[in-house]
Amino acid sequence: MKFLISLSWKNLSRYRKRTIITASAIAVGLAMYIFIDGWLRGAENESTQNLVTYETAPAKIMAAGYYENLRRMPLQDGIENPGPLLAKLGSLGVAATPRTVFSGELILNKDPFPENGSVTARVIAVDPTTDERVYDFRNAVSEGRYLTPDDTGILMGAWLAEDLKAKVGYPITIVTRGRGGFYQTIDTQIVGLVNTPNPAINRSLVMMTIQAADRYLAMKGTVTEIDLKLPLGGNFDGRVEALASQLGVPSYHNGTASIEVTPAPGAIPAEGGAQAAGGLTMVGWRDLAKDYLSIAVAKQSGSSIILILVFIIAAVGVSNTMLMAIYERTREMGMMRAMGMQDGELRLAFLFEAAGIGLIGSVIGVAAGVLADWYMVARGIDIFAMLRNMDVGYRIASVSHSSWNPQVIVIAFVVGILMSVLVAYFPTRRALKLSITDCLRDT
Amino acid sequence: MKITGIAIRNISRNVRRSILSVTATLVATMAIVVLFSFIGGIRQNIGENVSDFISGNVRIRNTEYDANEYMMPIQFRIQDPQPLVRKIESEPGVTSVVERIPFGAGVYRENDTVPIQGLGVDFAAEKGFMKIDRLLHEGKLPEAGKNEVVLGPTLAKELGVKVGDKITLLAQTMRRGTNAITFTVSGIVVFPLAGLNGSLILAPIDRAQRLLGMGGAATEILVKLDDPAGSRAFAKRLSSSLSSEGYPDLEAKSFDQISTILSLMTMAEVIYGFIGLFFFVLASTVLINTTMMVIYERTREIGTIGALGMTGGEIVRLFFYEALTLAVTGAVAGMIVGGGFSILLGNIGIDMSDALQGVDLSTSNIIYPRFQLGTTLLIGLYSIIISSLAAILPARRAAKIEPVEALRTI
Repeated sequence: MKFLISLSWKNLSRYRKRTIITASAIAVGLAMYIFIDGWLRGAENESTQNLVTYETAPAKIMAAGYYENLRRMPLQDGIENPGPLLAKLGSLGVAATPRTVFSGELILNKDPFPENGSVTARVIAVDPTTDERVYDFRNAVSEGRYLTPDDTGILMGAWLAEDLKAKVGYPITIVTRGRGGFYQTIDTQIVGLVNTPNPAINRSLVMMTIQAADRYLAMKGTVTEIDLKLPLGGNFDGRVEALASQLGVPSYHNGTASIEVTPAPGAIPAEGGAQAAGGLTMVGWRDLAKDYLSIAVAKQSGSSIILILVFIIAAVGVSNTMLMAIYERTREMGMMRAMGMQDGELRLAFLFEAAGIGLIGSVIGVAAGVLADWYMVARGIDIFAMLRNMDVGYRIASVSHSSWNPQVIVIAFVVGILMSVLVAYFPTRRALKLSITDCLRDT
Repeated sequence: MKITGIAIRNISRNVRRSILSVTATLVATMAIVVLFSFIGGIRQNIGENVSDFISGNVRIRNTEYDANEYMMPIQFRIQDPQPLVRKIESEPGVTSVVERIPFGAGVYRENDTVPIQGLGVDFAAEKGFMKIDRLLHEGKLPEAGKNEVVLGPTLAKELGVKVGDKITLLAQTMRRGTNAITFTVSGIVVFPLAGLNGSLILAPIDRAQRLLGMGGAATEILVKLDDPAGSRAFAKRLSSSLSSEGYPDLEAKSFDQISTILSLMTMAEVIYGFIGLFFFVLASTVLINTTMMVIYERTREIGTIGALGMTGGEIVRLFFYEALTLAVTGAVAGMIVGGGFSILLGNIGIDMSDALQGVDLSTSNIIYPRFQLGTTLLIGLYSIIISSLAAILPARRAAKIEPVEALRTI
């Protein structure tokens, strides 16, 4: 055995060129796969992050009736008296903030706006003192200031403001309907502009304080949702389930409420999903995301199709080079057999050699892939900086980052070696089946 | 001639090696062809949806409206659009012309108002433009002059309405008054864009004019051309004729001059460009590796023919011809396989509805990859050039070695 290993090693170092070419095929294939996978994953993670940090929060508690009609935003299906629930969440150590979301029509009047007009908008009312526990809007204010608890002004998304030609200090009237259906007119002004990495928010955000919304819409303390901060990784769904059962509310999955949860005394269960008016439900960001606007560029580009195609090219590159390397040595095998080497030993020696090439290629490939990943994770590339001279409409500040994917890196490493050995097996077997003289005649 | 003859014989002499070498070119070519067809499919899909539902190939609007379109200032309108529609229809190269009024409205309900996007359209003309009759899923299309609307299934479900039910639309008129009309839902239409299914209500344009107090005016005229590539030139010509023919406040823009659409398309182009680049790099290494391996393994053979008297130049040419033949075979086969696969997928379509969940780009749920002959030929040419050039370098090195040295390598 020791002899076989040292023979394989000698062969590897003797045919340096062949080793380099075959190993480099493996290395480039692996590095490319790791890099593209990390990049696509990074783009997806980033859009998830943007979604969770600015739109959905990791999870929300809503009245079941409200969640069922999320786009309609029915104020009468709110969480009445959210105080005890917030206190309970506080005692469980979960960061939470109440919000009220309603739809309204923004009325814009000529002077200071360039023209008369109106736009419908989703207005988000937040508690400026607790919203930062879950979201990150204070740091996203690009002009003007953040909201204060006794504020009557609004924050607006930077792109929306650009589209409407609105500036800080401009007055805006919001026409909406309060709880119970009465019409209400809210005269307010823009106190700040918000520029986040989330395009959907930049294009649509209108934000006021929950204190003002409570007054204008006659909410009497009712809010439409309580947004929670939970760690995203690992068993996120399990965490949602666990917290939901601690609170005694059902959690929502893929459009159906989980029924295993036994409601705690005092909580009103949602019957058959969501009809019961007073029932609360807890919804994770994945289910919420269906109803939001975020753009997932990575998904859009069909990442799985791209990865499959990358894998095909890489696999053909690896197996082709390897097949060729072994086929070309039928003659050498004939020579060794003629000198009396056992078939089994010879096969083992060749497989060891293939494993050696696979190992060298995988090490270099993984190292290169990790290095490229590391740069893309730490620094990223600004795709749109290259487009500075082009008029792309919006100012998209989008540095694209990669994400680490240890699983794929390990799998790529193992596959690199296994595939080399597997591919080497067939031509070796073929050569061993031939008679020695045939082997020697083979060119 | 002599050398090409030897090259051909060499290829058929070692079939196995030739097959491996051809496979590399074939797979690399095929994968890139499929990728570009896929990208082409997405691009065409965005283009068609944008042109059907948003901008047409060319869009005419009031300049003032266009400058402030997000406020929907419907007071900046196209007065009496019909003669203009007729006139543009008669121009050569025009497929279809429609007038439309996009407006924001609310569906009035007992406790709340649900915001929706309204679109006043000429249903008869839209049969040739957005192919509205093919989108109809249930019921019938509204008739002009009647208070009837059609809407997407998601929105219908949210509002809890069925065909035959009544809904009340509430909107601000052109002069900023409030107006409401009650409509009967005459049918359900399924739009190819998921986003529209949950928000869009189509009403006859005369009813929209009544609701918004616009008289006989429209907000925009959309033009579809036989050849969308000529949009920019057509828009330019149309713009200048508009101002000289008594429509000084109107302006025609081609779809790629509209900034929001442009930013979307540029973003997609850049991302696909990057992915394409990576594919070319990866495919090139595969091609170069395989070709180099083929030559390298034959150092001994090169030594033999060198010893028999073939000059270095002839050896290089021999191997170049060989590589070229293999590359052409592989590339042609790759183009055929990749093209066939793309055409097949183009007919079946790739269902992206899972992948596109929550995405509000202008893409449909099903992507039909689009086979493009020009791109495919360029990709094939690229593979041929890389593979055959990759043969020259190692062949030259091998030809320079003394025959005795070359013969010693195994």
